[in-house]
Amino acid sequence: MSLYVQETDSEMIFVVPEELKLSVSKIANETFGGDLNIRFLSLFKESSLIRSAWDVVQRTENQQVAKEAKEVLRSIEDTVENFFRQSNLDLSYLPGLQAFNVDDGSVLIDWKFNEFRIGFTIEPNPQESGWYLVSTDNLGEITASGYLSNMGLKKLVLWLLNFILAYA
Amino acid sequence: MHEIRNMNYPTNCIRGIANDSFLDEDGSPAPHLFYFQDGHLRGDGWDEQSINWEDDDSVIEFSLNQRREDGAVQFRAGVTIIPRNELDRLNNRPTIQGMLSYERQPLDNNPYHGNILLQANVSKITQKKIAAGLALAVSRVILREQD
Repeated sequence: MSLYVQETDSEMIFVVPEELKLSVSKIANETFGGDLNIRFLSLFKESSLIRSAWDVVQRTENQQVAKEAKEVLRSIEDTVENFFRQSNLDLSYLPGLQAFNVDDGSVLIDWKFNEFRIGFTIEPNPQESGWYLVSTDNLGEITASGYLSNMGLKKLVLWLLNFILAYA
Repeated sequence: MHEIRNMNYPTNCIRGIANDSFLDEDGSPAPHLFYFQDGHLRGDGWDEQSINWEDDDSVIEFSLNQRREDGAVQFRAGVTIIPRNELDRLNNRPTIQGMLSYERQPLDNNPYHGNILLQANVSKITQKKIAAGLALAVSRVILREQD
């Protein structure tokens, strides 16, 4: 039998990986949240997920770009943390995000995995800021992208997180 | 569509890394190493990004030793190797199809020189998605020993 968890705000449903089932509380058809049943060490010790990227964005000259980049980083951190709290899944294996101040005035937030790359590019013109997901042939050569203004950031990050949980 | 002329292309091309700012914390090339720049837009509707074609075993060393006009080492951080078939695969993906190409463009002081080409007027996010695809296609990184 498969075990599922549902993220409260987005109502997205995730399958619990087989190897992690024993660590998840089996509360059928109930909503749970907060710190209930957490059995793992905190994922966000010193915010290691975004710390490196945050440090780079602190040095971004264009304050509007820096502000938008920080919003993306906060959204990723909040979403992953909330998902962790609700699911009890151990997400400590997720690699940290890295950021780069690029010569064209943009900030690139890069999330690198073995078989795919996720990126958020924050542009001086906010209408051009976007995201992408690119995978190797082992994962079907996915090349998806879109504008950040077209989709709620939280839903986008949850969608990407679902992909990460399935394939990282 | 840019016609890839019937030339003999080797298995790999080489993209130089100007400095450490194009490397991530693991020493791997970051996607912005492969960003196309507006200043390199050509009159024929293509944007170019310089590479060397690895025609023989000497080209990696040649690339690492390339010098700028002022005599400084051009690729201070090293070079990356990209298999040509990965360029073809990337260009054949449904959301990219035909936007990429490549060519030989030998120079007086560099017979191996060529370009990866990107169609002009491609949206910025698509350009950057393609750059990430190129970064993901890198098969090898040769970091330059620091002087």
